[in-house]
Amino acid sequence: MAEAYSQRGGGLEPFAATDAKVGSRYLGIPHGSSNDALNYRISWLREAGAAVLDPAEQARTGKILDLTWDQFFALGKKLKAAGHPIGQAFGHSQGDPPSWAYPYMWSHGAMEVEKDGRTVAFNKPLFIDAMQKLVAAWKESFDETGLSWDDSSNNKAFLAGQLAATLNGSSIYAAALKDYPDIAKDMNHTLIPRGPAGRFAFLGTRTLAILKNSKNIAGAKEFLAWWFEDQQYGEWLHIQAGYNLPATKKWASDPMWGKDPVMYAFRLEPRVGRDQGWAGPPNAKSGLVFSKYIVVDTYAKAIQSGDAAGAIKWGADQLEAIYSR
Amino acid sequence: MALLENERILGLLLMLPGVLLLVVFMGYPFFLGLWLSVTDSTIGHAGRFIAFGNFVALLGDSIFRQTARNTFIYAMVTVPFKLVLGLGLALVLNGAIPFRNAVRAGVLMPFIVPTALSSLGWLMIFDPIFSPISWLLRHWGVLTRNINFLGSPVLAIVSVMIANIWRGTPFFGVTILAGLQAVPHELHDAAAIDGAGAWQRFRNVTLPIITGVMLISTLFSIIMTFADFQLIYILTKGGPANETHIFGTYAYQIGLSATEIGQGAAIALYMFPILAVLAILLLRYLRRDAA
Repeated sequence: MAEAYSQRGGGLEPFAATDAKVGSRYLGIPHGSSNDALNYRISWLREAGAAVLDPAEQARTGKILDLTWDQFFALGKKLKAAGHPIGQAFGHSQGDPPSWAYPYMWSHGAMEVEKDGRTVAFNKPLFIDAMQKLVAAWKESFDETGLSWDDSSNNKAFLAGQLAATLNGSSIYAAALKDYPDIAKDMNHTLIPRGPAGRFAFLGTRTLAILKNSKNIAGAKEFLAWWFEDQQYGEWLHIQAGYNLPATKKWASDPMWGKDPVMYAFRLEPRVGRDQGWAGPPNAKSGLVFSKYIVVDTYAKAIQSGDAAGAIKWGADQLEAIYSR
Repeated sequence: MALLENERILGLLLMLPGVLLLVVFMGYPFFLGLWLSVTDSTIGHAGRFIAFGNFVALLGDSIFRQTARNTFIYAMVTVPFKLVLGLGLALVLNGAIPFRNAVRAGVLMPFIVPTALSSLGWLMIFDPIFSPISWLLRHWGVLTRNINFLGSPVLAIVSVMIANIWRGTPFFGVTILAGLQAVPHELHDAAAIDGAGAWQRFRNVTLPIITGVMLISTLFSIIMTFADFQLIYILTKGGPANETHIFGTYAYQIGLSATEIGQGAAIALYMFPILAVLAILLLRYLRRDAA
């Protein structure tokens, strides 16, 4: 069933391709992930010198605001000087902090482990340099209280008009449309900045599966087969208007992405999404790394101590301990 | 009915519900925890016996060592504060103050309100962006930016300690107040006639009588503080960078969030010998005192 759904959908997006499988066997059917991208205030970024298109123009031309990390930090410096910094959480919560920490690591050539799932590849010179840049940028470009933020802090701060940019799902935009129309008119989304090794997003798919001890396995199978048909699954995606990213590739050309230009960037996100553990497989070890906030805490330690190399060494030691088990 | 006339049997029968409650809700989870701690169980997999493997592995885990350090600091700093503040509170409440009963009920509030709820209140007070304290100080021109209550290493642990002291002080206050009320007036009167001042009466009459209550309160407080969970979990989840992790929150993170239930049980059980030794020492002291 999962194979048929994948083929019907033109193949699984990279972030969804590994989650539902153990080895080569599917244990469930992936149905996608909630989104995340850089939320930004159009007028403030323009004032800081960024070449920001109107959302409609952006969606028409397909040209999103394309930033490197260096450009983003430089923009942040001007934004913070103007009283509205970048906001990013690095506390112990499982949404926004890893959504930044993993892509920043990947885009600088570092990762938990190589493709073999064993060789730790975290302590890389490029990543140490990047961490040093972040440590400097934290003071110059960010709201420095972010070390204690949870997943809701940046939503509140952005909607209170205190942040020019923050990495988040489209939930800020949804709340703005409802209660803060002025902010909704002045905001847009773009993909997270790119680094020397490329651009990545941290995504993990949700998966529907049937328990072995289910009393009605045949009925559950029939339901899933029906639910994953284009009509039902498509309707489910359409209702969410881009909040849930599809797990198969064909939905990238769905007309829903043209309905609201502010949601356009999310159309592009699945292609750059990777799951925890990448380039290795997501498994119990990557789950343990995630649950222990090893990657996130590496950032928090670097920012607190100013010692990027020491923090990354700490992270690498923790990863070695977990992946060598 | 004749059986019920037998005091021995009646006693056993009356004890039975209590024993059952203890066995089901305390004994079973405790021994299950003991068993899990010596296995490599994960949630969903029973695991196999690995003796003290989890305990040894934890000694090599720098986050665990940091957690142990945090727990000691958290308990050893907050308990003396709670004791001193609670003693002061009890002395005030024992005196003649207006609306004494209402005030006594009021000061118990931090202890009565569910911790999860009061912790949410503290979360708002310590909010990195919308903290009323930061707002006031900025408004008055004392500060130019918000206080990072839960985000900077020292301030984070200090902030959770303040919330803990606020919550725990009434416990000391009320138990010591009960002790104070057992101090006979005659002793005070006699000491006063002998020329003892207020401090001497407190030092030589009151304090010896309430020492037992204070010790028991301290013991309970150390146990409760060591085993704290809700307050830290709601305020920081052990962050930033594990600066506020204590045994309870780290055990939860490893045992349930990361599903390594065997190792999670081992983290929690590291508390057990420490608390057992404390309990034995204090109870011995009390027994010697009573003798």
